[in-house]
Amino acid sequence: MCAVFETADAQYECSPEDISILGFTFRIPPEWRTAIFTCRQVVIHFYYPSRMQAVILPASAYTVTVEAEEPYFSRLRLETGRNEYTQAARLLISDISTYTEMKTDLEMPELSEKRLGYPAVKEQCFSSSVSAQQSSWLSSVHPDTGWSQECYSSALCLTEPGQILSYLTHSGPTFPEPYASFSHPIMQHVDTVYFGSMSCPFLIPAADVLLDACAKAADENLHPVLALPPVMSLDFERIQHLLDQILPRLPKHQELSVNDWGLIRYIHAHYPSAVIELGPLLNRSTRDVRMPYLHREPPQEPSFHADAWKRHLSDLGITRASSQCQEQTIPPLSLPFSLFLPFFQMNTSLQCTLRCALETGSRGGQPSSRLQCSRPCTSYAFLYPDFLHMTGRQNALYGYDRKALSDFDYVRANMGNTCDRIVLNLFR
Amino acid sequence: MKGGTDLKITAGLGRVEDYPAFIHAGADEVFCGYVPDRWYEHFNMSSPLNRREVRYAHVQIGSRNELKILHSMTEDFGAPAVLTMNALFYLPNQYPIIADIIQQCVQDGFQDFIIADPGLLFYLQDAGVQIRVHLSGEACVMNPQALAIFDSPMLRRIIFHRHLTIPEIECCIRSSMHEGLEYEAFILNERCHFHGGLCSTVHCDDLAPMCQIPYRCENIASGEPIELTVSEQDPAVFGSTGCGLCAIHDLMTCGITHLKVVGRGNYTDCMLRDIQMIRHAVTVAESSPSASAYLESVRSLRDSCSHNCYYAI
Repeated sequence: MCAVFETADAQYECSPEDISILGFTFRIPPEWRTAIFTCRQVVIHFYYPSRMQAVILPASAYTVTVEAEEPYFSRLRLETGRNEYTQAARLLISDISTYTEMKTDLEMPELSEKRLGYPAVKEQCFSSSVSAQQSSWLSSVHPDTGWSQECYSSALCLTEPGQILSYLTHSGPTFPEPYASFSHPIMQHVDTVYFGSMSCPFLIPAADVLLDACAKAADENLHPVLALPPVMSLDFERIQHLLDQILPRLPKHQELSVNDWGLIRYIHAHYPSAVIELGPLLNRSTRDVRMPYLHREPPQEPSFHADAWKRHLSDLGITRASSQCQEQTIPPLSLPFSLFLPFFQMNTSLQCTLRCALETGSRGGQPSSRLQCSRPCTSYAFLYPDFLHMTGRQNALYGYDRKALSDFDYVRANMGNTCDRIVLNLFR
Repeated sequence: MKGGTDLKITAGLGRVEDYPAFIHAGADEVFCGYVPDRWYEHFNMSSPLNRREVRYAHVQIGSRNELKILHSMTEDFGAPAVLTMNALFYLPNQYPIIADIIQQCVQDGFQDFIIADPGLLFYLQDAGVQIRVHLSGEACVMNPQALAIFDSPMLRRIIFHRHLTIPEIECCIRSSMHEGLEYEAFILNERCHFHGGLCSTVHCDDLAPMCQIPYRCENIASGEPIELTVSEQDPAVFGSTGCGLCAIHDLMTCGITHLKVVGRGNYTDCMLRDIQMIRHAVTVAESSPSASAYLESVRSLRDSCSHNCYYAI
């Protein structure tokens, strides 16, 4: 709740200390004293869980008295007999006391259930395994005719070094698992392959492997894109060295999907002809599988449409960006972009949660070394409650968009006119 | 009370009335959220100005009356308050409104703002707004090259993210070309398993933080589960949600100027205990000739700690 006292030419915004159905107390700095007593009206905004109500009280409808003088403020009390205020205050007090009781008496999932209809009991229901969960998700994909009939370009992500090596050992345009056994019309449209991890620097393969992968892709008329993750300072030199080994040997206009501002700066400064795609982690938005319980509208416009953003993206040589299908139709970007699906990033750790769990027995432990990793993520993963449709892979937490691989109209709405590539990001 | 030392403590403030006690306990500065009524009127709770989508707890400076009272207190106590405008992103139509809010705060005497959205930083820079920016650890600045992108005459302080190690922090400080910058590191509370700058999930009254959702770990091929210990967080234990007390000497010698005690919305008593403990540790660190001597001196504190470490020592 907030009360805005209005004079003819100024407003004085006050939050209450204590609310009752007859009025409220509040504090004011000494310099506001005269103004508060000469206001023509007060507008009181009551904020409820899903709406706001404004109650306007003319000066004749309330009284203000001084309750106490303190060193930095005066404590005042407003009282009114207006029914409109009383009703609004009663509702707010009831809402606050109900919430406070719940917070005291209930565990958080139960509180969510009472207030949002969140199915708390399902937090204890897990799929039998990570692979069974993914199989179940993918087996319920039923692509509509749009996926076969529409014209679009698609890409695959090979994020693990093992996948890339597997790709290199097969002759012809055969992709490793999980793509090899994934039967979906999108596979007929693949003309691009992303090599490398968007989230973890330890999953970037050696320079010769990346060069061979790019060469093989080019031979097969596939467009190779190098994917780069966020990089901490001590690891930066290694990735920088890797780029210096491979970029001079790749075409001038080699495309890179970059998720680190420092790497973007380095690439633009040293390889100005390279095509830089702003990676999905740097296009920040609210992405949470629990959004349907909150009944929130998606944002009306992407942050990058602000002029200040546009100019700085251009200064950094960023010519395209990325977005992710996230179970809501979100407004498309105005610059060319890639749309990642069906998994969308919700959270990423740079003290890899998986390594911490395996090394210390606790997801919040300290990893033994920041600069070395045996890539346990190729063998282990986190499983989350089944109903949430999310999975803990590598050093990140992903949501699974259940509509993305079935409903092409939904995907088309997320593509707008500027998306020129759908990127399939399946996990093994 | 403050020790008059070089290494300063900045503490999270959820309510104006806690300010004097926090400064007496040893904080040199506070940081707090401020969400004016007009922000809620335009955008309600679902578009947070500073990463707190919370209505039912004291985590913000409520409105302008409280902000002005806080400013009077800072003038008397001589310990500044920094305002957080640290959402990870804003919508294009929100930038001018935030700039107006910031200008009004400047009129009310506040000069320092924590910013995490590069877009907001660029907007304020282009608009010629004269403030001192503390670049949030959640701006996704993880290396010196990224710092160079966000360098600006407005930049006053770099806040290093929780997941940076001390050598990584040191590398960033040594590489900085910006003279006179301040550097802040997290020292206590709320050490999340994930990177805040890469966290896209909601933090609101009605849902648990995403990192508290139950999970299991298993071998992908065999489905064999791995036994994990899920730590119980007892707020009565110092640093139960994250502590860097052992690292204070190392942080001091690598160039850190400010230590952050997280706690907007924490219980006042817990915050007072936390600030006092860190103040004591800072005093010990500053009089210790070496990191090992410091660790020896704070051994008794370490024995009763949570062992939920911010930094590996």
